Amino acid sequence: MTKKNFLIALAVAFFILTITFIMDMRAKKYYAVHSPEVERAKTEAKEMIQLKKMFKNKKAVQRAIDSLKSIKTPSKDYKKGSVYVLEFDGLNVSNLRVLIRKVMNSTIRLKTFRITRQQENAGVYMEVER
Amino acid sequence: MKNIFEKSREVFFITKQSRLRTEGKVTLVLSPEFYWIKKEELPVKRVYEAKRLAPSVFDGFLPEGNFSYIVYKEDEKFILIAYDKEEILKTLENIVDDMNNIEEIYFAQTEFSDIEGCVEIDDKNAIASIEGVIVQIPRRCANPSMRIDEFLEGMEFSKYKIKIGAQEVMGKKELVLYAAVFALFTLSFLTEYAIYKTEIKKMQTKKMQILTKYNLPRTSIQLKSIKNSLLKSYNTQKRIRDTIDYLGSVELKKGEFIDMISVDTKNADFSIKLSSKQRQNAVISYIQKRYKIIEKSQNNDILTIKIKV
Repeated sequence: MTKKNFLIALAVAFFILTITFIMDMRAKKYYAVHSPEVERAKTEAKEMIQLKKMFKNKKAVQRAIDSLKSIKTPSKDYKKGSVYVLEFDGLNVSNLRVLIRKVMNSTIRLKTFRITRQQENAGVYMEVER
Repeated sequence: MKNIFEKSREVFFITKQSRLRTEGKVTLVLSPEFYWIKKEELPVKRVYEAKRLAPSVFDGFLPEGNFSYIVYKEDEKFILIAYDKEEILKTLENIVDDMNNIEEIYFAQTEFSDIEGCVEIDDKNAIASIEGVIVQIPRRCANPSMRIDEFLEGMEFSKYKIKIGAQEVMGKKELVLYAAVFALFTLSFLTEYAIYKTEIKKMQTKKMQILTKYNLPRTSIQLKSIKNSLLKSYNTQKRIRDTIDYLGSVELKKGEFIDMISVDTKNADFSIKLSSKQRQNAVISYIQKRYKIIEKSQNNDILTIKIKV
């Protein structure tokens, strides 16, 4: 092989080697960056399903409202636009505590929650997103 | 046409008996003594195919040596020239005083193929074209009409030449070794690349399977939007519940009671009946620990505070 041919072959070989090396490095880097994504996607998907169950479950909202109504019959119970309105009057200490605990532990989306003193009892006004 | 930038060099026709004293770079044309020639019809059409057949065409005709071949087509026949470069250079060492002055070496066959009759090259020898093959003959057997010098002046050369500078930089064995090393590296990079590509494909399939399983949109923008909306709801609800819990946990002294707690998604109102004016600061500082007070007012012993949730 002459010097000229040798240099051409060397340049071609070096070029091919560089291209394959760069391709390899890029694939390696892409894999290193994106490989944790599968586990992350799984965790995120589970989180989202959990959140969806919490806030987009209409049956669960209805169950929670029925449960509140079972503590004491609300004095007012109606739908206003995109919200349920529930008003309770004359709740004694025990009823008020149960109602607050149930509201706090439920996944209903509160828009407004108001407790007012009514002599020795209490009144509750709440707006819940449907 | 002659290139005007081309360096003018002296051209010499060389036989094995020639002796040459050089002053500067020279171009040599070798007499037929230096190479072997065949004019053959071959069962191939292209020159590169004929070049592959050249060793077998000369099989049995050539002495021991490392031969190179020049092949070109003339009419329907192929002209095949076999030459041993090392042997030629060794011979030229006895002919030319300074080998470094030799720039290029041509063959009489390729440069004088179209001569007619005999051409004198020195006192004893002449060259002649016999059926298109240039042969060296004794001068006395012919009656040369021209001298070789007349041909060499202003001569335009063919592309068939031996380049002195173009020496072998490495042998076949070393070349194969280096090529193998390069190939090995390239192959390892390509293999690794293929493995990573397969893994990336698997990873993407797995990700898609997760999204399908949980019935989620495929684009990350949609995913992000849904997640943000759900997280916003979660945070708002958590804030409302925390506020109710915090305001409901205010410490009450004897004769005190909470008159009203009202919380919505942005603000909260809180009214408390205090037992004394001094209690006002204690209640405010308790609320200020966690929330920013927007408004506060006191009507008799009822303290009303508006805070940001």
